[in-house]
Amino acid sequence: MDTSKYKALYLQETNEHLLGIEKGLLAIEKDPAEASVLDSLFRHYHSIKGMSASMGYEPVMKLSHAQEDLLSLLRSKKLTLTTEITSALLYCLDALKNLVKRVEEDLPLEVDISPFVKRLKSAVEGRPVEARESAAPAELKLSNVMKVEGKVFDDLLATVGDLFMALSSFKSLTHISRSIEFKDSVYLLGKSINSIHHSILSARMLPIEDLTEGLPRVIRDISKQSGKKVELKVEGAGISLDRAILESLGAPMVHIIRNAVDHGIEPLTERMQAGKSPEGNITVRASAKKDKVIIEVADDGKGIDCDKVREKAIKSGVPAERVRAMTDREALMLVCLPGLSTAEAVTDTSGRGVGMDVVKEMTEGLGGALVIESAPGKGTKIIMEVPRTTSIIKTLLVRVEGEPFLIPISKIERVAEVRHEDISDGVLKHNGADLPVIPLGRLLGMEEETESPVYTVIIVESGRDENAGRLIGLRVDDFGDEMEAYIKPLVPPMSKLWGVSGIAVVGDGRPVFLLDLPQIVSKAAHGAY
Amino acid sequence: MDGDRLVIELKGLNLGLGTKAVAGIVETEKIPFMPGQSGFIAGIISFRNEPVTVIDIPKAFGAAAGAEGGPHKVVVVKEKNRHLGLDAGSSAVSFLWEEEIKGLSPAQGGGKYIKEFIDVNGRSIGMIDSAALFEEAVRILSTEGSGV
Repeated sequence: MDTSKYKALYLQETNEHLLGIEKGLLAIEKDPAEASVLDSLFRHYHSIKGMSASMGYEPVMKLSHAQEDLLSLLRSKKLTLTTEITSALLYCLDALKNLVKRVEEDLPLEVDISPFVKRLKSAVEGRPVEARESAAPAELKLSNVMKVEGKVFDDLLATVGDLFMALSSFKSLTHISRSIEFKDSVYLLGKSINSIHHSILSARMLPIEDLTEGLPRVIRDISKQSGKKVELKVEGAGISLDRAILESLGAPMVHIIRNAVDHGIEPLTERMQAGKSPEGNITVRASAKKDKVIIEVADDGKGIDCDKVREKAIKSGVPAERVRAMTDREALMLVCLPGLSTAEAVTDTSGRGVGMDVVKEMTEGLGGALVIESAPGKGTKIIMEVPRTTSIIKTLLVRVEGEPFLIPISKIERVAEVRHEDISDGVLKHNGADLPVIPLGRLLGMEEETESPVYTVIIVESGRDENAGRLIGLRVDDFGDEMEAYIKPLVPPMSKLWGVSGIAVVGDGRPVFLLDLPQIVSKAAHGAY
Repeated sequence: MDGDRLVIELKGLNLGLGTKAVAGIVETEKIPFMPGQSGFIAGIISFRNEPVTVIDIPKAFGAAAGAEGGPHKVVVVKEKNRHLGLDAGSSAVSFLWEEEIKGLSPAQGGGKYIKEFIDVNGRSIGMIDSAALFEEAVRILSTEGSGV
């Protein structure tokens, strides 16, 4: 196992324990009768021993083990604390500190610890030793690793967001300013803000492994309850995501896994009859695509019965004609309707129809998308596409009926100036193909736009589900600067606002909405404008 | 009654708010559009760098603004750590000090968004129920603005 990524955490925790040991040893030297200090010392040594063993730092493990043994004798009152014992422990503490420092500096750990163990033994046996007393350190040093609350990074990111917005004001001013010094200063300011932004983002990134390492236990518990055997495979766990996004995926991930075990994977006999392996397989696969991460959770179970989903949806009140007009892919998404479950049995953990709606809401709330693929008898794949980082994204400012909106740059294929007559029945010939062009203002419920001889068309990826991979044109009045926008989440009363996924307050103080392209394209595809 | 009151003077209707609930007043020429805005939703503004949903007060109370023309006065109220902007249009905004209303007994509600009325020297003032306005804004923006 590659433990190097845990080194910073190991150093941080171990240094805290070493500090605790030093305090404790000085305290019991003054008052040997204080049993709680002995208990605390024992815990510190024990923690260092355990962590060092996991990390493979054998000399640290062995030396802390030797000191823990001595503490054990003191706790059980088989030994009485003497000055010599305290000195020996302090002497060995310094040795532990040096060993941990070698870990920090990536120096080899082939250190002979036998003189230290010998010193401890002599102290226990009450034999005089020739070893010198520990020398007082020449200077006081602080650890290179700091423990920082996640909220500090959240606040820092929000502040950088405000800086980006202020920068966008300055950038606009550079267009009208003749001062070279001003332009240079704005450029340098932008460079510094970008650098801070990248540092904060990298500090917030965590590998997907941090999320998936809890899954074996989840699978173990659920499969025990259901009596099924399930194998978990995780791929691409090294891909990193922003901490806030990763944290939000925790509950959806567990829900998907529970569904897969409870309702996807068949019981043993059923699997054998279907010619499948006795144990069910669940694969969690992560891959990076531009600024997004795609997390797939696939099982090789019985799949979702589309007809049953349709039937349940109609029973729960979705208009029958609408359900019947849906493709299988669209119908599968009906499992995300609140309260709709096709599971025949409700278990302790799933089948109550509570969950997939939350999974979809959570994924889309992160600015991502959810897709379900399923083949009867072969299994189901839940695909979550989420942004790698949150909050600050590259956007293009567009105007519709005088109102500004932001579009994520990552979704834009190109921007085109198109003559009025080139758009016929809402379709533009683009690279030899028909490109649907949608008047964005009308879609957003704005006043009917005035006709113009030339339109600006923003050509974007046409979203997800059945529209995935196709292009669509959004007709706007004009477009402005590309900007790094700090996107705030939508809070009540506008948290469920349609067509937008966030909001930024730009440099001049105007609030500008970030368009939710998948929602907009989906509505446009159904001609609902 | 304790605490000062802010009074929005619409045509034929005076509306009051406890000043403790008022986070600030923003004057703006135009209230930016909010997708899906309908009913009494007027749009959105930013207040201390935070976006705030704005509702049209004359529309919500079925009265006309107290004056025509001029910038919009948006009273930003704090409702359980959430903000809501009350667009009074060009209506006059004044204050009633605690001393003026001390000892007055309010009369019970009289409208969907009015908690109670107070009578100050023959002038009736309806105290706005900002929580009810907020809940209605949530409802409008979750359904009518849902795009489905």
